[in-house]
Amino acid sequence: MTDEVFFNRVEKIRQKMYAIAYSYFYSESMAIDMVDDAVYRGYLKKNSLKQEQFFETWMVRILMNLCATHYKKSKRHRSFEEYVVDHEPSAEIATNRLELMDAISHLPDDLKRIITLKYYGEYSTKEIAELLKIPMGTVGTRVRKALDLLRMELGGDDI
Amino acid sequence: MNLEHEIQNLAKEAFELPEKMNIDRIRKVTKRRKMIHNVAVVGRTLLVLFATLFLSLFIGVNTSTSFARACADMPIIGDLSQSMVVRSEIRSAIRHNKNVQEYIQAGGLHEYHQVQGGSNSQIRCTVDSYLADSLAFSFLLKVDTSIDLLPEDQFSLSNLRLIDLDTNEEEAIDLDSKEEKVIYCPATSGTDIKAPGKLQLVQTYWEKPHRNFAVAFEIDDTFGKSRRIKESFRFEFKNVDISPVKHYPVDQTIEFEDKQIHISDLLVSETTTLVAIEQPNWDGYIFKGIDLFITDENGNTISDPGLNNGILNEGYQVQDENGKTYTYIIMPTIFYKNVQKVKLQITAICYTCYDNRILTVYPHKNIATIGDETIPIEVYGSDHSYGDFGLSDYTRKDAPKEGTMLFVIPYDAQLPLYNYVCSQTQNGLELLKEELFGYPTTKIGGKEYLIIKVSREYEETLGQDPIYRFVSNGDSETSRLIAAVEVDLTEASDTI
Repeated sequence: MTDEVFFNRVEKIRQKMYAIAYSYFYSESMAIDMVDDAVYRGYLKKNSLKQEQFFETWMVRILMNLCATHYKKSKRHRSFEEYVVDHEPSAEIATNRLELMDAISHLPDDLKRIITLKYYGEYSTKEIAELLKIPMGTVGTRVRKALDLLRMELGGDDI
Repeated sequence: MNLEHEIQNLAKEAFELPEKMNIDRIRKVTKRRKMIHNVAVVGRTLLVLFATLFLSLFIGVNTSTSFARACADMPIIGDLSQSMVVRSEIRSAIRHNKNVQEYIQAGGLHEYHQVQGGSNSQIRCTVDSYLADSLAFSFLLKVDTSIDLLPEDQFSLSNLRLIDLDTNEEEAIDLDSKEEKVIYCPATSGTDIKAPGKLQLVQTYWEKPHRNFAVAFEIDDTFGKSRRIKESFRFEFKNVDISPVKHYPVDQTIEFEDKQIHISDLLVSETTTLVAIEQPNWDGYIFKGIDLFITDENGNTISDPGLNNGILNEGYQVQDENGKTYTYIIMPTIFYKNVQKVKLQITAICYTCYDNRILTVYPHKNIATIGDETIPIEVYGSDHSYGDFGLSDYTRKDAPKEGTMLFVIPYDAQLPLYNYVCSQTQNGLELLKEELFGYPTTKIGGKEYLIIKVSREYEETLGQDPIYRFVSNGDSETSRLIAAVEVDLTEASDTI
């Protein structure tokens, strides 16, 4: 794969990559760093990708593995103050969103990946199944399971 | 409230793509990381970050006053060790730069100690000391802030200029091809502005030495849009002593494959050594850089850029009064080496090929040409003599900065992907900037257009017209070779 093709393809998926990385850290700079790192790793190994139609799948996998590893190491959570400074929401919205972020971050890794891909990557069930190499039915099951766990974590049926 | 709806709202935060996520920057970062291992790079200023390298050992073992005292009776070592008592924070800032170490040991460090608050008083800069010779000016800089910093916070130093106080001439310093260089500011600075930062060495190569001049630059916090702070600083230096540079003409040509490369001069100052190479005029190829080291007569290496900063051969380009372009390869200084003759050992030459699809943009005429083909284009620029940036689909994340040109070219012109801005010099094409021009698209009146964004600094003049020249190239190529050029150092032809 030539440099030109590689970076053209990266450009097409950079929005998704950023959103996915952001979902791990809720930090712009961290997300950018993760994307940079993933692109660099992909660039070094670009010639090992035999079927270019799987480029996006391949890059997203690299990115998610990096994010997961880095997240485990850093265990960094956004503070209320940081979130308010960055997004200037009302106190109520900030509180709710931080609780939700916290709940998502505590999901088991396989469920968190599903939530990330579905809501941040905006991938369809079929695409998620391809990305994670699992049956489509399993994707649906895991989405439901993740949402159930989040509801429990956030306290009740009213959400 | 619906949980899925809440997650979607939360995810929306991630859909606003930051400016830094543009493909040009990503490509640049990626290529630079790759280049660290193998390729020469063009740039004129080094901002030396405090990378941890083993060379600190050289100065680290010799820095105590008791050691200096113990060595005082020993000829040579006595003088050297006494002058090596350097403040620890300066040692830390220069520990990987052997050139500067030797210069400081020889008494080249000038104390300065000026502190300045920025224009909004949120960032404070201290210039602690400086070093100056005919080829390079360097200063030790510390950044403090009253801002509450997060661990990932960082500051950028940009728009570095030298202003001659006698003539008021301004010389913009190319910070590694205008790319912002990052100074990492310690995240320990809380609200207390007195919390100490760390000294960093900012090293710049100037076109000509000045004695009375100001250094102006901007420091900004690059964390988030909502926290973005940019402050300007200006430090004045007066009656600066400049040590001269020794000039040795080389004037020798090396042949490899079907190409030739002419090494014209060797310049030696107390902080740096430059090897001047005439820009080669190769049909279909653009010279990018050279890999060389310097040995003494016995073949011992006395200057190797790999040991200088741990990264790669650097260089910058200058044009003489006749319009000829030269690349100056930056080498660790051989000033302090006691040698009569040296050999410039060349091991590789890096170049890139290009085809005939050079895109020349004539912004005043609203046209671009490729070969014989003329394409009508729209031109926008921060100079209001061009249109403003009122492109409806050109979202704010890509909003061009001051000094940027946008060329809006019909999509059906089917341009190749351009990745170099070049200028035509007397001796062939000169590479000005390597960047993938990422071509965001926009629709105007239902028709699709590509947008090329480029800084105005890359404008050249053809007759009366300003023009921009873009080159599409393949990957860089490197020719390995073994060639040596001998230079007699017994007497410099002149000093500059």
